[in-house]
Amino acid sequence: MDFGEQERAKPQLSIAPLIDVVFLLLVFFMLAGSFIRQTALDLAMGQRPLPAQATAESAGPLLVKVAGDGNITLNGLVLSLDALGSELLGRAEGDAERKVTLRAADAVAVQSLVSVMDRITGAGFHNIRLAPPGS
Amino acid sequence: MEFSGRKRLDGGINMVPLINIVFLLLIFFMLSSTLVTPDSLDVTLPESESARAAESQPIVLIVDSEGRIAINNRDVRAEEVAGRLAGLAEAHVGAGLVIKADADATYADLGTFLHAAKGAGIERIALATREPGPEEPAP
Repeated sequence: MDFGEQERAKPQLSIAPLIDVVFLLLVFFMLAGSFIRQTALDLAMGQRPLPAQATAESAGPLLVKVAGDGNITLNGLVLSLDALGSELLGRAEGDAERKVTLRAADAVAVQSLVSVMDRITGAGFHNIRLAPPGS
Repeated sequence: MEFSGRKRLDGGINMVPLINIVFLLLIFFMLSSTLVTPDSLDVTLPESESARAAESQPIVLIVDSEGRIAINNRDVRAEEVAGRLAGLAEAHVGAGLVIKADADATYADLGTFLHAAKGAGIERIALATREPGPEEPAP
């Protein structure tokens, strides 16, 4: 018997279709994928009736109010956004666990709210409570 | 001259290293990128410096600058939000909520939903932000 013919037809795996498919997958994942890092701020909601001591000075919780016209007050003290940061930084020393209540007027834009929250967390406070709207 | 050595290499380019690299790239893109579903409403997220990296959550509430609302890419009217959130919270026990609010939306637009979410039993609520930069990252 002569097996010469069979030996010559030794199966050789054709890799061209494999490469085609792999390239296709590569292009798909390159186009459909996204590398944008999702970031978010954690929100904690306060109780609807705000505790009465929220406005108290020093040892009590801090109350940051953002008015509809953009005015920011910290326990009744009118401050600019930058001044709020430095003022909070001074108060954060020694007591970063202190609760900060953020009360925003209904007309405040989300960006202003986020900027204020940035300053509060930037000063070291992590216990931020967001008062519900209309309170 | 005898070029028998070269003639034997005539069979074509060696594909193995190419395939190695392509597979490597494929695996890299598969693992490092995330597939994103485009949002049904067009929002410009607020900029934040202190925000932390967020994990994706099964419930996504979108509020655009005109106060239109979508939950998981389905348009919802404001009065239906509480009901939808309660239903989703039941379906995904322990799930968190991500709010994608436009930077120009007002607190009144989303504040009520924060309360609705809390009422629905959703404990973790995150407000999606973007890293500060001069331009909006590609959607």
